[in-house]
Parts: sequence; structure tokens; C-alpha cells
Amino acid sequence: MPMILSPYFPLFAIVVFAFLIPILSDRIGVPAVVGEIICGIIIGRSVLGLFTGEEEGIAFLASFGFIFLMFLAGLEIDFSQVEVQGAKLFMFGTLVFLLTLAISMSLMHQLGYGFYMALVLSTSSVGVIVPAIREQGLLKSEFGQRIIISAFIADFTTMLLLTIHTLYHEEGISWEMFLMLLVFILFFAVYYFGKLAIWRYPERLSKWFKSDHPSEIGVRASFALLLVFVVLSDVVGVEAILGAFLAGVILSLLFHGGTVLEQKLYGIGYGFLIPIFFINVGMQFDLWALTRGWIYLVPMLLVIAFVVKIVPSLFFLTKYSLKDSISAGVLLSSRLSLIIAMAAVGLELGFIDTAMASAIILLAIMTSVICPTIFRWIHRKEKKE
Amino acid sequence: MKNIIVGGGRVGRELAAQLPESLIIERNAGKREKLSELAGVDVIIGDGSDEELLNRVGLDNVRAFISLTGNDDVNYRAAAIAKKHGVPKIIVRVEDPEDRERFQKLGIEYIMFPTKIVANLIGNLLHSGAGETLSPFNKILVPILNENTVEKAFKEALLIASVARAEVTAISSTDIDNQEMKAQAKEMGVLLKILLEEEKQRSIIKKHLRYPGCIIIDHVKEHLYYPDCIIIDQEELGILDKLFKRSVVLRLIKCASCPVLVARTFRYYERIIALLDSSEISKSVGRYSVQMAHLCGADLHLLILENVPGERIDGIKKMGEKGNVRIIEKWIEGNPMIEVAKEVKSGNYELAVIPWRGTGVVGSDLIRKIVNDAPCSVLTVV
Repeated sequence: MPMILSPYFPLFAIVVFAFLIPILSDRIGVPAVVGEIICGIIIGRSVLGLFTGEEEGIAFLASFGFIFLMFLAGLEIDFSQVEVQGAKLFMFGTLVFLLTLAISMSLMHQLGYGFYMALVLSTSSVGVIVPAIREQGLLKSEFGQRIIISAFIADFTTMLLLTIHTLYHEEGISWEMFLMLLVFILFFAVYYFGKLAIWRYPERLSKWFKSDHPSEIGVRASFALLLVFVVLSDVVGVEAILGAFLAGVILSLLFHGGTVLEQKLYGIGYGFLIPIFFINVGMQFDLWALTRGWIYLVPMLLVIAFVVKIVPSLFFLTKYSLKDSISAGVLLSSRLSLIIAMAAVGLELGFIDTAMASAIILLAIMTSVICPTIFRWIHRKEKKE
Repeated sequence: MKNIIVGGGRVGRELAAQLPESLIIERNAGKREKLSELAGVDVIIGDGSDEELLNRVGLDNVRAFISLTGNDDVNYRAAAIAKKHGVPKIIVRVEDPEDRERFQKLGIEYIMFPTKIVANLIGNLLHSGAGETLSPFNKILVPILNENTVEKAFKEALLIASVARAEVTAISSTDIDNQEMKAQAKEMGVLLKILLEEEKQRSIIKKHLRYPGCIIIDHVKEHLYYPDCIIIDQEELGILDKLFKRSVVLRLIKCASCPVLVARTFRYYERIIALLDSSEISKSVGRYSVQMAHLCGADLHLLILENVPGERIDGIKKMGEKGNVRIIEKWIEGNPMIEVAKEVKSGNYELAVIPWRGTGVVGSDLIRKIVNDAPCSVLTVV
């Protein structure tokens, strides 16, 4: 077995695939993320069975890749759009999310499911959406930022509601629930003192962002900030990805991006950690579980997943064409990391059964494959026109 | 406390007439008689850059030392001696703008370039009516924020108006000495209008001063006076004011449809810094900064924060050439927010020209910080 040759073999294989996939997926015309998941399914337990995704180091790198993905997602929100347009953009995102949650709740209620499933279906995936928008060169456009902010609000609110719901379920209304406030207090404290530090000590901070610092102090500081939030979140029982996301948001709010430091962080994330996460998602998926009699759940969830996102996205019509609005709705329908995390949490706490959890994972993979592809297809066509 | 003026030429004489308790040191004995006609002014014939003479005159109890001869070397030596004796205020006339650095190294705060200012003014007269004007403001408004306005914002408004040939309108309350304001404006050759507050309006302003709405702007509109620039005094803000964003100045900047200048320098600007990025608003930043530099004979430091279209920079340079403005480009490396804070705080500039709100590259938090806490005057443009 080649794996015995070296403990680094699984990592070697994944890294080589991570290098080849963007080249191939670009030719085929699907987003790299999709290519990575499909590659993971092929090399994982479902098809070739080369890897399980549980190999030493791989599982950890993949989970840290997920955390880093959320960190970069926070970092990539361009708050200048919010500044220029005022609270309008946030109001817009909130409105879209509230409508999503309302439709989701009423549909799931009619089908006999509870609030937890409604919450699951209200998620988006900033992690899938940001790379897709980035690929189309729409990251700096108002349209792109509107989608990202909407996804951000959907993800952020569901993460928050998930935490509250879980804590409530576990402890009822207890003082531990208020511990999660610590994460937000830390957020505001870091933001406030960060602002102060920029004004008071610009000379010292300046070095962090220069490309020639021998110790890469800026990268070290970013990782320290990320881990402070991740660890605190874990300790107080908040999802670690929420902490990572907030750490990214702080950096974006304080420094407004566009610097060498950010490029370095993107390099570490998109160049190494994040592909490992996406390939791992594919590797862990059990395709043969499809045959165990819950296959009917998938089309139902898929239809609901699109409806709850596309209908509220018609708000985009106030400023954009029908095609753009629908493309925004389709892209917002993509769900991946958060919904998978929610499936795991739901299963653990008994909110959903195994069949539903598997269906949710398949839904995540399908939407994360289909949605960015359709979005890319619509906008590529538009570019050609 | 007295003032010492070195050089009894026309400028020195004009100045001494405005500053009683002055002592003029003039090299040319033929001018003694004419200078002695000035009331309250003493005249000494001699070399103003002679340390022995200055020691004899006594530099210990001097309020201001003003060196106005037409010879930069004499002015340099005289200023150096005054500096050595710790005179609190030293003002120097410099004929050759290229001599600036030498005087700056000496630590002289107030350096005047009459040749450049006059040349630019004449240039303005010749260019007026021929396309783009280099004079940014015709109507300057000084609204009342507190009783110190007369001292600070008003003085800076007069300085700018005197070179921009603009008229100043001050909204005054009766408890401010209007005669004093009028006298100051007259000395600087500025047309001044004073709109007197009525008791009722004053109470409205006072009421809204702590928690301001757009009351000041509404008030200005009531007077049907649409200024090209509003010059206001800086505010002293407490922590609570900052936390709850209770700043009159920031509210004013937000409401105003014209540039707002927060006065802190009270003298002609020598070095102006302008923040330039690829946003639309930075076109105005470029234009106003060149115009201000032209008016004051200042150097313009362009802090370029990101990849700015080449034609925009070329446009600013062309305008600078036309206005006889030396432009120094500075491309930043690293994070724009931090580099902006570093430069603005460096104390190397007397005026910062910035957009009125965040542009993306520079966040609105930093803009607020600069407006509230920068060590120099700040012109926010729309």
C-alpha cells in the first residue's frame, strides 16, 4: 500500500489534486470548489475508497481549513459598500433573510417539521458564494457585495440562532446562554481598541503590513486574532466558525483590505487549507447511503432550498434585471459548510434523524455544485453578450 | 512685551502701523525719519542679523520676532539668533521658495513666501475668465459654534479670504466684539459681512449645540447665504461625545453641500497633504488641494493610496503646473488606513485635504478621527 510509504502520502495526494482541479474545472466550466468536492467523492469512500478523510492530520487540516474559510469570508466583506450606501445594504440583506426564514418556517411547518429544519434551510454559504463571485470578477461590484451581505446576514443569523437554539435546548434559559455575549464583547473591544491603535501607533502597525518584514509579523498577528476568537467561541459554546468569521470581519472593518497582508492570507487559505476542506467534504460523503430509502427527501429539500432563496431575492428587482435577481437567488441557494455543521449538530441533539442528516449533506453537495455553476453560466453568457 | 521687526521697508512699515509697541531695525539711516512718524514705534539703525545689536536690544521679553528684509540670508541669520534666544513667535519672509528647507531645518514655524503668493495672485487675475479658475472660494461662511470662533476659525477664514479674494460672512451674536472683527478684516483687506443673531435663533442654536441636528445648516439657509466653504473651529469632544457621535462639526460636514474647513493652523499653509484614491470624490480632493496650494504658495504632497488612473494624476499635475504648485507624489506601501494616520499625524503638514466620508480605501472612522484629532487644519471636500 502506498500509504505506508510515508505518513505524508494522503496530504501529497490531496495537494496534487488541489493543484490540478482548478486547471481542469476551468476547462470544463465548473467552479473549482465543485471540482474539489467531486474529486473528494471519487477518491473518497464512495467510489475509489483511497482515502476516508479521517487520516491523521487530514481531518484536522480540513477542519482548520473550514475555520480559515469562514475567516476569509469575513475578511472579504467590503464594508466600504455599506459605508457608501449606509444601512440600506444591511436592511436589504435582513429583509431578504427574514422573508427566507418566514417562507422556510411556513413550508416546513406544513410538512410537519420543526423550527430547526426551517433554520437549516435558511442558511446560505458565504464560503461558496464568495469564491464564485470572486471568480466572476464581481467582488468589488455593488451587485456582488449585495449578494455577499445577504449571505453574510443569513449565515451570521442562522449561526447565532443555532447557538441560542442549542443552548436553550441543552440548558433552558440559563446564565451560560449569556456567556456567548463574551464573544461579541470581545469583538467590540478588539474593534474599538484596534481603531484607537491605528490612530495612536501607526508607525508600529505600519510594519505589519509591509511586504519585507522578516518574521511576517502581520500574518502571525492575524492568526493570533483568529485563534483568540476560535478558542473563546469553543470555550463558551458558540460555533467556532462564528468566532472565525467575526475575526475576519474585524480585520476587514479595521484595515479595509487591499493590502499585501490580505494577499498572503488568501495565499495560505485558497492555496492550501481551503481545498483540503472541500476535498475532505467529498471524501466523507457516503454516496451509497442514497439507496437506503430516503432518496425522496432530496428532491423535496432541493425544491424548498431554491424556493426559500429565489422568492426573497426578487427584492433585487428594485435595482437589477430579472436575470440578475434570479442568478442572485440561485447563488444564495448554495449551502455547504454551515448546513453540514447544522446537520451534525441536529443529529447529535436529536432534532433530526439520520435519514434527514444524510439528505441535508447531499443537498449541500448538490446545491454547492449546481448553484455556482448556474451563476457562472448566467454571468459568462452575459459577458459574451 | 514688544515686537521686533527687522527691515523697515514698505511691508515692515505697514506691519508696524498695525502693531504698536514695535521696534524696527533698519539698515538704511535714510528711512529713520519716515519710520519715526509711526506712533508707538521705536527705530534702531543697524544690521538686524548682528547678534551683538540684537543682544543690546534684548530678545528676552519679545512677543514676536518678524524678519522682513528682501535678503534671505539676513532673514536667516536674524531668525537663527531669535530662535537661539527662545523668542516664542518667529515669522520670516523668504524670497526664494527653494530656500524653504533651510528655514524649516532651523525650526521656524511661520515662513511666508510673498513672491510666490503675489505671483499666484497675478496669475489668477490674468487667468480669470479663461477657463478653469484656481481660486476655490468666493464666499466663505464662519458660523458660530462658540465664542472662540472669532479667535480661531475667523482668523483662518480671513487668511484664506485675503489670498482667495473671497468675501467672508460671519454669523455673530451680540456678545462678540463685532468692531474687533471688522477691524481685523479691514487690515487684511477682506470684505466682511456680519449677520447678527437674533435672541431666539441663538437660543435654538445653544439648545441644539450638544445634540445637534442640522439646525446650523437650516439656520444658514434662513439667511439665504450659500457659501463655497464653511470654516469652523475644532471642537473639544469628551469621551461620551465621541461614543455617541455628538459632534457638531461632523454633523455639519455631513449636512453641508460645500467643503468644510476645520481650523487649527491660523496661518498660511506651507505644506498641504491630499489623500488620493480611485474613488470619484478624489477628483475634488485633487482639485481643491491644488487650488489651496496655489493660493498659499504651498507644496502639495499627494498621498496616493491605491492604483489611481494615470490620467487623474496627470490632470492634477497639469493643474499644479498652471498654478505654479510644486507637487510631490508619495505612493504608499502597506495598509492605506495606517499610512494615512501616520502621515496626517506626522506634523509635517498644515492642511490635510480629505474626502468628507469614507471611500472604501479610507474608512469613515478614520475620516472622523482626522476631522476631530488631526494636528493640522482639515478641509473636507464633497
